[in-house]
Amino acid sequence: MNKSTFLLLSAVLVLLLLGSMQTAQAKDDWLPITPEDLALKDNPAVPGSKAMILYRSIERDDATGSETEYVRMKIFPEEGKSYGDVVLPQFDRESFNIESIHGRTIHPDGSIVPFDGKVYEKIVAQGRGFKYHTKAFTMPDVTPGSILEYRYVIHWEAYDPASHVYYYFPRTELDIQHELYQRTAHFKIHPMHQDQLFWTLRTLNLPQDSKISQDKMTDSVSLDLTNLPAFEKETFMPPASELAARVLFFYSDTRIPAPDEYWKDFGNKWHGWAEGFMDKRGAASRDLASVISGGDSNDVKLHKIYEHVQSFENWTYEAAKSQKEAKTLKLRDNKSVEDVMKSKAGYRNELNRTFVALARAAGFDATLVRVTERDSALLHKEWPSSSQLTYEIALVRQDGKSVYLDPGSPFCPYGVVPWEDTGVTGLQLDKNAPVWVTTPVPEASGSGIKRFAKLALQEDGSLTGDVEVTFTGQDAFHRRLAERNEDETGRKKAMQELLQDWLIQKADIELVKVNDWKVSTAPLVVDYKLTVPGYVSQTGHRLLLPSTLFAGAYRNPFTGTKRLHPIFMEYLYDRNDDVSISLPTKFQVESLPKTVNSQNGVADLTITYASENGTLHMTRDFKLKGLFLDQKYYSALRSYYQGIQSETNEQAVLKMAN
Amino acid sequence: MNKPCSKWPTNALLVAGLCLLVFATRPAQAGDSAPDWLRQLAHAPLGTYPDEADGVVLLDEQTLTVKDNGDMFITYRRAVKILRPGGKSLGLVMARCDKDTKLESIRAWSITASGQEYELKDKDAVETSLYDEALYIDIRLKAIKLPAVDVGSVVAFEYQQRRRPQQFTDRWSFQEQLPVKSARFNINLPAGWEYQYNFGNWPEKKPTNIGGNSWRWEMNDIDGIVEEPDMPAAESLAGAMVVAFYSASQPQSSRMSTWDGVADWTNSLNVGRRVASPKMQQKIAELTAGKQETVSKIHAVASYAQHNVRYVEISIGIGGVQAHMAADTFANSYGDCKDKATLLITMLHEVGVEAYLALVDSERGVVNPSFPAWSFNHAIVAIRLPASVDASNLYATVDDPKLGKILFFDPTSEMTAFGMLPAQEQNSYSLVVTGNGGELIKMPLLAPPLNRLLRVAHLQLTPEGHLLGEVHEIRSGYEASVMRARLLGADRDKRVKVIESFLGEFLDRSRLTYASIGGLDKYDEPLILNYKFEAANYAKSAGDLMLVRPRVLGNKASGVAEDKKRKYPVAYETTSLQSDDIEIKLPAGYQVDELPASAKVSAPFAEYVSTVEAKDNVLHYNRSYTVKDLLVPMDEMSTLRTFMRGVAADERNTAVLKKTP
Repeated sequence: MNKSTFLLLSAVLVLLLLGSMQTAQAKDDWLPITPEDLALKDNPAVPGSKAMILYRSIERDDATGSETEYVRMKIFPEEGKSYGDVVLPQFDRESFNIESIHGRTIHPDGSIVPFDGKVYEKIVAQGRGFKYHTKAFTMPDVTPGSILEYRYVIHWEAYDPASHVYYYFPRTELDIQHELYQRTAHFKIHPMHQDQLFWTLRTLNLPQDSKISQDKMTDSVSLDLTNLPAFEKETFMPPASELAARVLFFYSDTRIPAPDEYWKDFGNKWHGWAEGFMDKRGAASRDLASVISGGDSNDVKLHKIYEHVQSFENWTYEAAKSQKEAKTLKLRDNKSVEDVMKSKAGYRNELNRTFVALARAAGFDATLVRVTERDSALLHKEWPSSSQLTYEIALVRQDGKSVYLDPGSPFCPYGVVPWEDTGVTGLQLDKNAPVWVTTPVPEASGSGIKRFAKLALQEDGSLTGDVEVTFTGQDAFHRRLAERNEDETGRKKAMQELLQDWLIQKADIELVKVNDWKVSTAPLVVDYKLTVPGYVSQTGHRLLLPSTLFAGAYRNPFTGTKRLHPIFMEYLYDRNDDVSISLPTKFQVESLPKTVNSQNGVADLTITYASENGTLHMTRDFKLKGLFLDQKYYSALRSYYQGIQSETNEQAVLKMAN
Repeated sequence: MNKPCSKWPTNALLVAGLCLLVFATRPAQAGDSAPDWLRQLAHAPLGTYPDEADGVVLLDEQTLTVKDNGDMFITYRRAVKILRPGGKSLGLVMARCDKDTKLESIRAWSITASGQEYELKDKDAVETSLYDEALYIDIRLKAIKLPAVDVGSVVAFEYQQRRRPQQFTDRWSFQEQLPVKSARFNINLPAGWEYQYNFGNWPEKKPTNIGGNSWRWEMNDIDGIVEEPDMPAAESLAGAMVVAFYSASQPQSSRMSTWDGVADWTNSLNVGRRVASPKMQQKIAELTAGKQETVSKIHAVASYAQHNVRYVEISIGIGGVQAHMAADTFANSYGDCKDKATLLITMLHEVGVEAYLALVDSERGVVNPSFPAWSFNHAIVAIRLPASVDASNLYATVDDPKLGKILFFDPTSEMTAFGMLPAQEQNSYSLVVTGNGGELIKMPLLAPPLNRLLRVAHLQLTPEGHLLGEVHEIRSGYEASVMRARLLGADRDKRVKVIESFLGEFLDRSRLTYASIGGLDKYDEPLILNYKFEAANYAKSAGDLMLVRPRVLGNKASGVAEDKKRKYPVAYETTSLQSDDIEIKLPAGYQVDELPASAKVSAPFAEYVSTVEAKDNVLHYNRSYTVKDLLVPMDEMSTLRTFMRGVAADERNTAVLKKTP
C-alpha cells in the first residue's frame, strides 16, 4: 500500500467513523418525555381517542432538498395499537430517498424498547422511468399507554430554479393536518435560495393561536400550532382542500406581484395563447358553412354549432391512449382550432375554444371563461397561482344575456354547464385582463327527475304497471355521462338498479326502453314495467298501502347528529312523482294521509293524495332551493330531511267495500 | 398466509391505479406483430355467451416442466376476447412473482377488432406489490397495460416463470369468472417421474399422452362463475385440479399428493420455530400463576396470544407459509396468523398442553376433503384437550378418533370468545399438522343459541304518534363479534353514531337520548347495549286512526331469492337465534282496532315466528328468527323466496289504533 492510498483509506475511515458517530448521536437524540405524558390515559380534548400526537415536527429545506419528520404519539386503548405500523410517504426512487429512520416505544413505566427491526421497502409501482416506493416498519411491543416516536428524513435533489423558465409559479405546501389530533406541532421551512428567486406564503384555515415567525437571518419560516384537531370528512361538504389547515409557499423568478398585477399578467398571457389557438377565421368559416344556413335564426345557429362541436370525439372523457397507440393511429396534438375541426377531436378546453371560434365566425359575441371547479377547490384570487383555474367554458352574449355553455362536456345539454362550474368565479378571456365573472346557479326547474307511474293493485296484494322516468338538465347530463362507456346490458342493469333503489321493496323490474343515450338535446326518458310483490299489508279487514312508491329516493342524507363542516350541495333540482294506483273493486279507501305544502329556505315540498273512481292518485314535488348552508343550521336541516323521509312512511288505509 | 395462485379478483383499486401508467408504454416499433397461435385464436368462431360476460377466455394454457434435478418452470399462455365494455380492464395483464418465483420473461399482445396488432415486452411492464394490507409482502405483480383495448379486441400474454423450489405440486384452476372456451394443462416430466391428480368440483378427466413423459388435460366450453349476492365463496364452487409429481430421486417430492404430505411439508417449515425464550417462560408463569385447571391455563395463554400480540403481516418468499420464531413474535408482540398460532402452540407446550398448527381457508368450502392441495390462507390452533377436561362449554371442540378431544382456537380473531370459533371457520375443514402427517378435521357448526341477539324494548307511544323508550340488547357469539368490531372500530365518542345509524334505518325521526355499552372488551362475555330514544311521528294518523308498526327495530327479510336468474345457493354467514320482545304502551284515548295476524314461516334452514297481542292498552310484539343451516341449495330457492316474503310481510305489518269515542 503506498502512502497516498493509505491516506485516502484513512480519510475514508475517519469519515465513516464520523458518520456512524453522527448517526448514533442522532439515533439517541430524542426530546425529553414528561411523567405526565407517560401517565396520560386519554386525550383530554377528544376523550375516547385511539391515539393522539403529542408532538409532531416537520422541517423542510427546499434549498438543500430535505425534510425531517418527527412524530411522538400516545396510544390509548387496544384498538390504537395499529398506529404502531408506520407506512411512510410514497417517494420516487429515482430522485428521492427516505433514510435515517429511527424509532422507539416507551411504556407507561418509562421502560424503552428501541426500534431495531427491519425497515421494509415496498414497491408501489415501478416501471420504465419511474420507481415509486414506500418504506414501512412496525414498532416493537406496543401496548395501550405506550408512547411511540419515530423520525426519518426525506432527501431529494434540490430544485435549481435557475435552470427553469416558469410559465406558472411552482409551490410548496406543508402537510399540516393529520388523521390524529395533534397537541403540539412545529413546522419549519427554508425556502429555495437563489438570486432572483422570490417567494411568498399564504395560509388557509390555521387556528387563531397559530404562531408564524420568519427568521430573516436564515430566511426561514416557522409555524407553531397547538391543539390541532384531526381532519374529518363529511358528506356534502365543501372541497376538503378548502377546510383543511394549509400553508403554501409560492415561488417566482420575478418579484412577487400584487394579486391584481399577477392576474393581469396571467390574463394577458392566457389571452395571447387562447386567441392564438382560436385565430383561424378562414378554417372556422369553412367549417361553419357545413353547419348553419343563412335562414337560421341566431338561436338555431348557436344550437347547431353547439351540437356540431359536441359531436366531435372528446379525448378528455376517453381512456388515454399510449404513445404506441397514438403513433399507430397517427394522432397529433391539436395546435389550433383548425386541427380540432380537421380531426373532429380534442380535449374539453380545445372543443370549447373551437366552439367560441365558430360562434365568433357566425357573428356572435363569444369568449372563454376559465374557472376553478368547485368539486375540488375554490378560487383564491389572493394566491399567485393560475393553476387554480382548471377548465375553460364558453360565454356567449346573446340578446343582452350571458349564456354559459360547455360543448366540451359530452351530453351536457345546451344552456347547462356542469354543476362544478356553476356559482363559481372565473377569469374571462379579455384583452383588458383581469375581468372576473361569476357563473350563475340555475334554478331547480333546470334539473329534474320526474317519475310517472300508472299501476294497479292486484287482489294478491302485488302492484303491477308501468313507470316512466324523465331526467333533465344536470340529472340527464350526469346519468348519460356515467353510462357513456357501458353497453346496452350494462345500462339496462344500471337503470334497473336505480329504480330498485328508489323502491322500498324488492321488485321485479323490466326495462322496456330508453329514448336516447347519445344525445344532449333531449331529456333522458326511461320506461319500465314493474311488479312489486306484497306491496300492501293486511290488518284484520283493512289493507294498508304505502303512500310513497319511490320512498327510497327520499332517504335522509344527513344521519349523524353532529356536523363539523358547512353543507355544500351540488346543484338545485326538482324531484317530481306522479303515481296512480287503481284498486281492486272489492276495496275502497277509508283514509288517506294529509296533504303537505311546505316552503322554507332549503326546499319546497308539496304532497297530495286523492282518490277517485277506484284509483288512488298521489303526487309529490320536492324542489331544492339552497346550495350552501352554514353548519350552525345543520340540526334544523337534518330535522327537515328526517321529516321528508318520515312522510314516505304514510299509508293509505283501504277496507273491504260493503 | 398466501395461496400460490388465484384467478379470483385481487385488488381492484390496484388495477385501477396501474391503469394510470398507460403512458409508460414505449413508442411503436416496426414489426409489432402477434404470434400465429394468437392470430388463429382471434379468427376462430365464437360460441354463445351470457349477456353479462365481459369477455371469453379463448385459451388458458399452463405447461409445467420439471427438470431432472427437480427445478420447475412454467409457461403460461392466455388469450381473452373482450365482449363488453367492462372487459376493457382485461387489457391490464398481470403475473405474480417473488424472489423464489422469478419471471424469466413476459410478453403481451392486443389485436383490435380491425386487426391492428400491438406487442409489449418485459421492459414495458410495471411492478407493484400484491396488496396494501400487509405491512410487507414480497409477492409482486408484474403488469402490462395493453393498448387499443376495446370491445372486440383480443388481448393475450405469455410468460415463463421459475417455480418455487421443493413444492412439487400445482393447481389448475380452469373455471373462473369468465367463460372459458379452451383450457389446457400440460406437464413435462423427466423419465421415471410419476404424477397423481385430483379434481375438485368437477368430474375426473383423464390426461392424454403428448409424447414421452408429457401429459395434457384439456377442457372446453366451461361456464363462468358470476358473482351473486350471498353465494358461497366462488373458489368453493369452481372446478379445479391439483397435480403432484414425484420421483425416487427427489424423496421430498412425494409429499404433496395427500393431506399427510401437505401437513408434513408445512411441519418441516415450522417445527423449528417453536422455541420458548426465558422471557416467554416468565410470562407464561405469570399468566398461569394460581391456576390449577388445565382449561384455565389454556384460556390464559390463548387470551394472551389473541389480545396481546398485534396482527402485522410480514411475509417474504416461503415466509408466506413459514412462521417467524416464536420467541421473536413474543418479544416484538406482533405477528401474523401463523406467527400468533406458532407462539400459542409454543406457550401451550410450556404448560404441558399439546397443540398443533391448523390450516384453514378464511372462506367456507374452499378446503375440499376429496381434493388434497394447499388450499389455505389462514392458520389457527388445534389444542389437544386432556380427556379429563370438561369441554361442555368449549363449543369449538370435536372428538377426533385419532387425536381425541380437539379444541380449535383462532388467536387472530380478537372478537371471538374462548371456546368459540369465527363464523367462516365453522363447518369447514382444517388440516391439523400433527408432526406425523395431518388430520383433516371438520370444525363444528355452533348451535343457533350460541350466536344470540335478544332485543327487549319498553316503549311508549304518545297521542301525537311519537315513540319513546328504552332498548336492552344482549348479544353473544357472532352477533356480539360483528357489533364489537363496529364499535371498537370507532373512537369512543363516535360509537354512539353506530347506534344512531342503526336507529336511523328504522326510525325516520329518531333521537338517541342515552346509550351505554357493557362488556365491549370482555370478549368472553356477552355484549350488552342499552339505549333510549325518541322518534317523532312514528305512528301515522289516518283520519281517526293511528297506524303503528309493532316490529319497530331490526330487519331480517332479504330479497336475495327474488332474482329469477340466480344460479348458486345462498350461504348464510352463521347460524343464529335472534329475538325481539317489544312492548309499546299505547296513548290514552286510543284503543286497538285491528291487529295483524301472527306469523309463522318455517323452512328446513330457518324458522320465523311472531305474535302481536294487545292487553291492558299495551301492544306486545314478540318474534324469533332462527337460522339453522348455512346453505340453501338451488332446489330450495322457491322455499327461501316464500319464507322471506313471509318475514317481509310480518315486518311491514301495522296495528290499527282508533280513537276511543
